[in-house]
Amino acid sequence: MRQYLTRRLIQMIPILIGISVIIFGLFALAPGDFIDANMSMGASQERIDELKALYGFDKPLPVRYINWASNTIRGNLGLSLQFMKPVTEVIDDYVWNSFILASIAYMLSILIAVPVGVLSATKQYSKFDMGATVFALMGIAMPSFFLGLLLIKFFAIDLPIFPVSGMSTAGANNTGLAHILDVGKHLILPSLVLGLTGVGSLMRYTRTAMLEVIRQDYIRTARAKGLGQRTVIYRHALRNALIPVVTILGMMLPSLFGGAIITEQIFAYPGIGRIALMSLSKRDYPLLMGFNMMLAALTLLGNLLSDILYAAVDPRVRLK
Amino acid sequence: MKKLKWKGIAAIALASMLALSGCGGGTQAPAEGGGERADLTSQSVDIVKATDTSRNPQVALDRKDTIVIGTDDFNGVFIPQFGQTVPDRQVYELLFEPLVGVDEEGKPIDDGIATWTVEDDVKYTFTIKDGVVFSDGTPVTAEDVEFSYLVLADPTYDASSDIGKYGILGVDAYKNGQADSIEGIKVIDEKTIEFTLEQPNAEVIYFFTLGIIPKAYYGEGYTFGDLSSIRDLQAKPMGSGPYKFVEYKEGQTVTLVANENYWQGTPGIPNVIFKVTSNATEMQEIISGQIDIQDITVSVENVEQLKAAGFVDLHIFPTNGYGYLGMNHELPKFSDVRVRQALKYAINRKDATEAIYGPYGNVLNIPQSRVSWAFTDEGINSYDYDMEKAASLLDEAGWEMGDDGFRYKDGEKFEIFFTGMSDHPVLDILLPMMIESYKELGIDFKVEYVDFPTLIDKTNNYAAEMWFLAWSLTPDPGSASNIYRTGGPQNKYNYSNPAADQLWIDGVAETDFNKRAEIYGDLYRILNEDIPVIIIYQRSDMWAANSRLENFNVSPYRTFTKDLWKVTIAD
Repeated sequence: MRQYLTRRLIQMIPILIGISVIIFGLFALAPGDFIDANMSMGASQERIDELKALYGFDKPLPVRYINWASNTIRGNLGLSLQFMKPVTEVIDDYVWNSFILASIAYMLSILIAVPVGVLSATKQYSKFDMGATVFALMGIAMPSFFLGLLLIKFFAIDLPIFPVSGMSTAGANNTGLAHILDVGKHLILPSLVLGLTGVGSLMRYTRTAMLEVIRQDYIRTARAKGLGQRTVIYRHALRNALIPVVTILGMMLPSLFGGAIITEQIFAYPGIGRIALMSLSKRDYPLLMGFNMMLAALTLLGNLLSDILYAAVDPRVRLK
Repeated sequence: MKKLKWKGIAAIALASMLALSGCGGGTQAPAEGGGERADLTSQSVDIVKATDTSRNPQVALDRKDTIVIGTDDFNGVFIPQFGQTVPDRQVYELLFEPLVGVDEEGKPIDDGIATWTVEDDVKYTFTIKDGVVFSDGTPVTAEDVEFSYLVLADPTYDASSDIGKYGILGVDAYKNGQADSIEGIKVIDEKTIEFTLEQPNAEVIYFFTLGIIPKAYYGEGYTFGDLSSIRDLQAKPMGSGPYKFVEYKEGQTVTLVANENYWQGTPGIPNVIFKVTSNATEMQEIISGQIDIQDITVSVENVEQLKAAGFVDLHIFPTNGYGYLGMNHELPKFSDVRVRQALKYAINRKDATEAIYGPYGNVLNIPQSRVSWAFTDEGINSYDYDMEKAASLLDEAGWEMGDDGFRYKDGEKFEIFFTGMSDHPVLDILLPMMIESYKELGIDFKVEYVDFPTLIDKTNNYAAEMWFLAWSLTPDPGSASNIYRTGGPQNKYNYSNPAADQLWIDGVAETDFNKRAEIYGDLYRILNEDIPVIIIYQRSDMWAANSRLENFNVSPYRTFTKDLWKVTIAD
């Protein structure tokens, strides 16, 4: 196992380097830079040139890449151009908020999707199955901003149960439990939106995996031996059906930190997704590079995690 | 997202007010409001009062000593010298104060921390008023003023303010390290400081609207060529303004508390909170009483919705800016003024503006706000929609209608390649109208769609033929010279008119307001006829304020932060 891990981790390095070259090249080649996008109005040409020199935009591309790469290896992701503070600090400010939101949303998704998927599979073509399928497809088809605005209208305006936006009540200086409850209240609507739009596909996936397992011969044998439905489904079938589902969990790693751009935008939630989108239109390249490299690394790690989980859960698989 | 782009444009503009602030004008201390020009203040802001204050939601009424202001994402740079965005600016305007203020007509007045006199139009002597202190109790001195400006001249200063453009003596020498201080910025005594220019520049008075920062606090550890000691404090500001900084929660709120040492008296509202709101929900936040002040896109529906709520006061006034169509004058087809005039006559700007903004937009014919002291409509051609006139102008210019329905000149077909932006509130209405009108005129009008920074990049490289953008306006008309004079850095149109160039120079060299207004009048008449760009409209801004706020004041040239300390919460 250790050998396998080491080999995989070493393999990640050239991949990450390749990704960084591509992303850097794409951003640098995109028209417009930070100065053009934010500061050029009203400034004299000398000032614009001065600023571009200060920011290093006048140097050739390979030089700028080497500068960025050598700094990154040492842990210095550079200064965010719009926030004027280290990229690592900016990401740190926002990524944990996204993490909390995404974690709750995914837990919600899993808690709904897996049982419903299982039941759907065991009661295939029943009314429950049809209903669940409709619900799942609606969730997949519904745009998250639409669902978000709908929920805001019903549960924050018409019935003022939940706050409209934000992560905590402005001006309230809550600490400890009161603060946790306050944040929790603010998290309910956004995590519902994120969770409900994601539950559909997970449910269908579980259902399909379950259906496949139920068709297997050993399930027929178990039933023939006289085991009850509940034992057959939950002790034998489910475990095997969950194998593909568990590996999906590994892939969710980058999404936990990537931020839900649209949901965060609607709810003015201080997450990293919203910041990343803003940075794109403002051409804040250091922040975008840092954020994208983080996601790239997490995606590769997520892949690795999936493979390990797969081997752990399925005894037929041997990691080499 | 498109709203963000608009706010982006406005943000750049407002943030660069520091740099753009030119317009000198007033000579002696308080600017004399010209006796001849009409007082535009009363005309500039349309206030729609709340009709039923009893409907104020309980959650708002419960906030007896706090107000919540909705705004966009902060960058967290709460220093006047470095802050670039509107939300950051809103915060630091409550924390720091300038030497010179601006009144509701856009003229300089002495409601800042100093009074001043001008000698020979080149020497500005500022005297700090008595009792002005920073929130930690220490007095504001001339050295603090000097420090606030020295920062801008540091060679590593990388924000947009441009100290070099006013001709202050000795700035370059200081930047290059040849001098220890700036010759043109001299501390006379504890309360007095002198700024000297190489030659008269009417714009410089607006440069003095920069917030003053305390040298002892920000200058600790500061050395020439290294501004990090100041940057490190960007999220912990301290100034002389009516409010003190309490807390900043990234992406969420900024909390301020009244400055008990404020030299003009205790502010009426003890606590101010800025809250980040999303465009999608800002209307709901106002109507549910969770936010007290917010600027909201003005449209017929929004106004109706806010009026229906009953407890919100609306302040509507012309935006400091205008939307226009730019063109590359180097292209032979655009270099003929008759063609440009024809293109302008062929657009029904009145209908377009009405379709986009309803009653809240107006056609504009000169590059100046209709509530500015420099505005004029004497001798200005309004280019009312006239297809016949457009056609005859094109005939005159040698573009003959061919058999295929297109115009030709010297064998060349009249084609226009327009660079637009997709999902754009203005272009979605304007472009179809233009396509139809120009087709009728015999022009092959083609459109490509790009995003905002790409468009900027294209125009910077003179690679676009015709496009739509907006410029922002500042209190000083002179700041627009960069846009329209020959070789101006913002002149992306290759436009050149020597007569106009001279007037731009004259307008800045003259420091008397009334005379300046005349010069700019002449200038605008030339630009109106010569059409460097086709100006379409000036739209409006709207600020919604909970009716329990008394004395809330906002106008085109005076942001609400300037007078917020006088606002009180009704019982």
